[in-house]
Amino acid sequence: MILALQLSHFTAALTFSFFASIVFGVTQRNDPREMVRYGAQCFAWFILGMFVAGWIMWFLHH
Amino acid sequence: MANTETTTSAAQAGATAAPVTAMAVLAPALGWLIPGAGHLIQKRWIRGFMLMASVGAMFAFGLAMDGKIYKPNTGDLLDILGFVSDVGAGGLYILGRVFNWGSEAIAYATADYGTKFIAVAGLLNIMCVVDAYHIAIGKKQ
Repeated sequence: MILALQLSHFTAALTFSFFASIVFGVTQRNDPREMVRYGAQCFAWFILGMFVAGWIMWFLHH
Repeated sequence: MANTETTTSAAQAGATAAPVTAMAVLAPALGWLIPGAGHLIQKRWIRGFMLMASVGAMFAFGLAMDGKIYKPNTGDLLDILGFVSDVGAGGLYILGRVFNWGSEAIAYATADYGTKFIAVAGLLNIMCVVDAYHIAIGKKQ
């Protein structure tokens, strides 16, 4: 491929979290309302985990 | 007496076992081949299209980021696992192999992210397949 999509690590992680959360929400809950709630919850955990992992790596590096 | 007990336990096992219907076979198979189709065939339209869009987008993003599609291999354990994950994407993986999509080698960081996107698209599709099966056997609405 000549022109590859260049996403930053953060944007890639955000995109990944978004789509993975949708699948988690739809497949892991029965009720539509619960699906949305669980999907949003997963997305929030992904983002939180990303920041925590980022800071841990920063402290390990410095 | 022993015969009665055997019959009773067999009947109980039959009552708890999932019924093998055509849909219980067709939905997961179709869901594997076309992400989300296992839900669509069972008239779960919104869920089906959402899963199709999510898995399809993950796979497409992976390819756009110059990710690698693993071929069957007996080399490094991670390469074998990469192949197993990629195969989960079903029809998308077959199309990728037929049209030779993806890069041969992971040359830079973005391509590595892309490779992970493709692998995770396959793993997410396996979750969709299992969910379609659960709907087909009545375990889930």
